[in-house]
Amino acid sequence: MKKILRSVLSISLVLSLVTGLMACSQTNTQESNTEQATSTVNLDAYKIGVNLELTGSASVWGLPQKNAIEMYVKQLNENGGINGIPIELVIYDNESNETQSLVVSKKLVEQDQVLAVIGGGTTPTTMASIPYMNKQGVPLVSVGSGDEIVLPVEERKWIFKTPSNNQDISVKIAEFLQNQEKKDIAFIALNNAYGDSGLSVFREVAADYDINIVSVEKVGLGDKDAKPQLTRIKSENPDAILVWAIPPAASIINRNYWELNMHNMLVFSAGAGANAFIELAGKEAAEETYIASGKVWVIDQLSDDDPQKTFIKNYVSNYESLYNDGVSPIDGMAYDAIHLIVKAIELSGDEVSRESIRNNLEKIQDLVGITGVFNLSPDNHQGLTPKDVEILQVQNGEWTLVK
Amino acid sequence: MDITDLFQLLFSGLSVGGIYALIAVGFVTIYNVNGVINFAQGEFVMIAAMTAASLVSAGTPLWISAVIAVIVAALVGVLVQRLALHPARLNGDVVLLIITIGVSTLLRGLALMIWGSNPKTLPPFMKGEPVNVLEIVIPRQDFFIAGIAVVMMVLLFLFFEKTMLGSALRACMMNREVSRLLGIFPNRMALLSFLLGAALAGVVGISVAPVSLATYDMGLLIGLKGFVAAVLGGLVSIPGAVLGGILLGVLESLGAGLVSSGYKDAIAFLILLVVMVIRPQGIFRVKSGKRV
Repeated sequence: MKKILRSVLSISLVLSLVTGLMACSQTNTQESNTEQATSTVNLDAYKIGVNLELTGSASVWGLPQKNAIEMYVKQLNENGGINGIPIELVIYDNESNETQSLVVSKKLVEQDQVLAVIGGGTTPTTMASIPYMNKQGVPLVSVGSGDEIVLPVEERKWIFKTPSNNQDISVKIAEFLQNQEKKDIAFIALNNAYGDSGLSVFREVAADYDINIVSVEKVGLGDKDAKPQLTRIKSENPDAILVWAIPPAASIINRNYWELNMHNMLVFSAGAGANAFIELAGKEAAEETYIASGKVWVIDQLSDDDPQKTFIKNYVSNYESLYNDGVSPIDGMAYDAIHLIVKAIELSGDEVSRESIRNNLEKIQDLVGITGVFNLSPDNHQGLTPKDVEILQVQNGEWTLVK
Repeated sequence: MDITDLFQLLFSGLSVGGIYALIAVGFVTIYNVNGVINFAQGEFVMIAAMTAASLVSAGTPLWISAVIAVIVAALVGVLVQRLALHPARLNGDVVLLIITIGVSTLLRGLALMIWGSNPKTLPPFMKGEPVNVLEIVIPRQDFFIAGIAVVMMVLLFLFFEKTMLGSALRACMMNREVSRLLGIFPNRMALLSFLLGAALAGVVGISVAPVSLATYDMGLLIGLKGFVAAVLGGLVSIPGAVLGGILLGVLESLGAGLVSSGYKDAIAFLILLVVMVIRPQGIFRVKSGKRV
């Protein structure tokens, strides 16, 4: 009897563990399976790796980013690829985890032999892969926004990124705060590389614009409650609160701000710009909140001579009809990443290699994207300016361009 | 930082503490009847939160969704006891403990497959602007959380002290073998304890989801905090677990507000370490050795 019980036990234990593990890795095996299926059809293809946050705390970003990249590649391949050669994506999940991100990068480079990698989608997951990618000589186009991803440029030979620099976002926010005559501000930073980078950059910029940072608070990526931090800020009563965080933490801060009945001005950096932001924060709570962000939410409010207007409009309508979901500036950044790589492959002509993609990425000029108009150079691996950042505000539950 | 801010922190801490208390009670009930720390406790919270959120977004009225969600969580608890723990009940505690860890990974994985990794929202049960009491602002949902914590604790008290079934469960918590002599079936009590523990976790799930959002991996941290609260209370007494939960919530909130927000979670685990080293019997218990 005991024997039977013991065997039943061990089987059930093994089963439960195996199913659990399978479920965790389910997303990425599925992805690679479908991708490999297409590869057998097109043996000759440009292999591009994707290293994104499909699960874990930053998956609010990762999933729409993956969608945007897949949409781009699908359309490109349907139109004959690049001079008849299609793009083949190899997509893995980095679980929003630095270590896993490096594992994924290694797998993409060594096992899948990709030409270039897109990702990670956040600053920490990107930073983990940078030394390895530089050593291996594989171009990495990151969708993380920390400036140190591409700076100092002499140590970032193979690294590029599409989101606006914290520097540019900080300048835009500082200009805006100055116009609104807000002098004393409180700063809430995410307790990781993204928040730290935002804080140190904004500190420098703030000095030039005569803005004082009166208090600094930290919030964790998985925090469910930011009321203690906001209570502290409330007692300081600053003119404005600037938050450098991503959802869901960013949404919870917005919600708690409303719950504590605070009426300072609340400004978010571009990182908060996932399409679910208003919904997650709650409509009442998000009202009047500001964000420094790209243009996708306010495309109809842009002037007709804006060079990006038609490009973004097409993107928005294609994405929404394909995925039945709203777009956000965040997935646009991933769309720009694959756009840049494809452009670099086109510029490479017949001799496409990791080296040629890297060299040609630096030559991209006046490329209209979703996040802005890209002008890259050997000294600038990002290529945007503060002009590509807009200040938006939630008015009546909708994002509105602040002029 | 003046006195109003201090009270503000205290109130935020109390509402979070109520949550921890309810989870801790679930831990204690299950631990004492089954002799095992159920590390899947946080996953029951998650299941209820996710079930309620997806029912509401599918158009079911909020209160009905909430009731269904608690029932679903309780049923999952019963299934876990019957399918995973009951067959292994004759093995040592360590085996049972590892099973609950496996179950928690399994449930989290299943949730990821069913609901995906995007956070979900559940509308608050009490809508409207936060309330101002003597310059302290209290979100309406916090009243709900505090209210539900009090109601649940009163119900638990009545159940354990005034009903036959509750007394039987309590007897079984004190001594499994002797209660068997008195005609109580420990196996049924084990099932009942999981039903109760999971239902309590379910109530927690639907109360916190409107505040903290529902995600497939929310159970891990909330379960650990509940565990810390239960240990603070000495792991064997229900009033101890309640006090432990409230104390933990308040300390966390005061720590984040007065010391530094970066150390909020560290505070909980630091308290756990200190208690484990200095007072392993829990901070509220004077004498040890009550368990036979």
